[in-house]
Amino acid sequence: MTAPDISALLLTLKLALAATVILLLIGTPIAWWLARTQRRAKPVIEAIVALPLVLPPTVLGFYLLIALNPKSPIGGLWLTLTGDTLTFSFSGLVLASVLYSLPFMVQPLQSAFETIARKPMELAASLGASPLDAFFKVAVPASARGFVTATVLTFAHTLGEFGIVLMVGGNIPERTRVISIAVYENVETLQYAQAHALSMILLALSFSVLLFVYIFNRRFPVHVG
Amino acid sequence: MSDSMLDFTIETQVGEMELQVSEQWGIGVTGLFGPSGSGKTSLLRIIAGFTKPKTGKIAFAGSVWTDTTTRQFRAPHKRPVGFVHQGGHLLPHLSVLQNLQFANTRAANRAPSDASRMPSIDEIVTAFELDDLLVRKPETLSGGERQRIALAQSLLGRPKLLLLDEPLSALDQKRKTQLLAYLNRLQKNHPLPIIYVSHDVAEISQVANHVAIMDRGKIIDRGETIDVLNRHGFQTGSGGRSGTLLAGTVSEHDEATELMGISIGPHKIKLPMNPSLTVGDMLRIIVHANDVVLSTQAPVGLSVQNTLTGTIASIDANPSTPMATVMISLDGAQDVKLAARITRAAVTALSLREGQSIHALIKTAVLAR
Repeated sequence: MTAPDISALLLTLKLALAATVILLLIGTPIAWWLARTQRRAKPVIEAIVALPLVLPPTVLGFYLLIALNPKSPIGGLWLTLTGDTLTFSFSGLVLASVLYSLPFMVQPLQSAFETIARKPMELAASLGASPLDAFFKVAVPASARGFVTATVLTFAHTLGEFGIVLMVGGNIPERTRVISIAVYENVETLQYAQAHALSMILLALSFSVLLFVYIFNRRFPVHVG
Repeated sequence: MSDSMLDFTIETQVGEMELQVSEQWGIGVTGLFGPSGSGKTSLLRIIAGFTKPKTGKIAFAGSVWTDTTTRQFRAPHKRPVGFVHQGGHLLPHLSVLQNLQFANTRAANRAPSDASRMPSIDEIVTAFELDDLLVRKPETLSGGERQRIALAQSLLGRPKLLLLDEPLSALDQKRKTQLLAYLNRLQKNHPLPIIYVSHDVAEISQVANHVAIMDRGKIIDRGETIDVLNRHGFQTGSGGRSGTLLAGTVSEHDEATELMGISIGPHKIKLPMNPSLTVGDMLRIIVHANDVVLSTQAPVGLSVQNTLTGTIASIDANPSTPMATVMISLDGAQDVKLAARITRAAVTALSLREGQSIHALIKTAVLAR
């Protein structure tokens, strides 16, 4: 494997890791709110969260390109704050990946949270546990399987994204050139051997994480109720 | 206002039903009794703060927990309430011991000064005989075991108010008696208000100092346990099995016959000895109306030994059934009315009428406390 390929691999892992960590932090409260709320806004938020599942990545990428370019309010603010652009940069890729993989984090978490019966949470409260205490000590352990599924799916999904990366990040080595882009470029330039090597890595990686999820779900069924 | 008075006025919608209650309940066990769907569980949930009432005010020991006019609402975890859900729910991902510790550590945080106010984990584990269950997960426990642990856990939360929703329904009679005795002892050592929801007359009469009867969202009667239960003929929520609750005192233990004598006013009956009772103890006895036999003369040559004398206060013969209910005022205890259920044919054959002297023979009696 060539040095550019290795850097593409590392960049991909870094991107997936960053997006997953950020999504854990913002996806968890969204999923918790969706699982508990009875407000009428719920289906609207659910639809927004699910949009990346059906929207072509190019469409999402196109809008992001418009929203994040240095002349836009967000892109401009980011440029002033960090001195770097959001488009065609790693930060922009992370932001795009967070949006793109949002449903993969929120949906498994939401269904895990929804299966937590009301009673254990009430019991914890009656024993003096604050809502935050009850969330971390009762809801999180009870939805451990949901967390593993959501984390792994998010990670795996971010590994494989292509269209949105191409739109927002382009193909800049060390900065935005992830595996899927590298494979595309190798194929375009008829370097099939290198394309094979990278594709195999992505295939093996994706298969392993998915296998892990399914084995984990079998071996550690979480009983709630 | 008393230190531990629970004072509430609630008006709210529960499904199709209007829940409308206004009560003041103090220290001691208040038995909340009534048919399913009468709003008992909903009331407990509102007091605990799990649901908000449409309108109403709840105050405990002088501090306001809920007041819909001033929009005050104290979150459930800030109310010193112990809550046992129907069916005995535990934290599903924790072992029995971890469940108990969960309660214990948070109680210590919530009210550090109260550390000595309630039993410790060790005392609770011993009293509830939980030693063998400590490492088990809730899903592997039987319904009765879960209820025992749920009750133990609620006590470790060092509540100042205990809300128990059918806490012992899945337990066998022996365990039930044991735990009710424990609650009675606890009540003596650490007086606190306990609201005890149950369908079971025997359970309520064993533990409750007061009883409130709930029906279709309203409390239709309240007062001393014996008075209230007798007034309602046990019919509310007990499958229509009517009977009478009598208050008695243990007057003697007869080791030779394994019987103990119980005085009910001037009357005396004998029941199988209960080693946990000593002479002088007060107890309650349930006499089911179907277990009472009537005789116009003093009985001779019968195996039934327990006879109470009185006069017939009323005869209620329901023309649509073969049965009649005869209420008897006991001699020397006019306010106690014993219910007897006999056939209408027997009423006619014996030409029973109001005011007539009668001998009531009790076939069996259930000891309630």
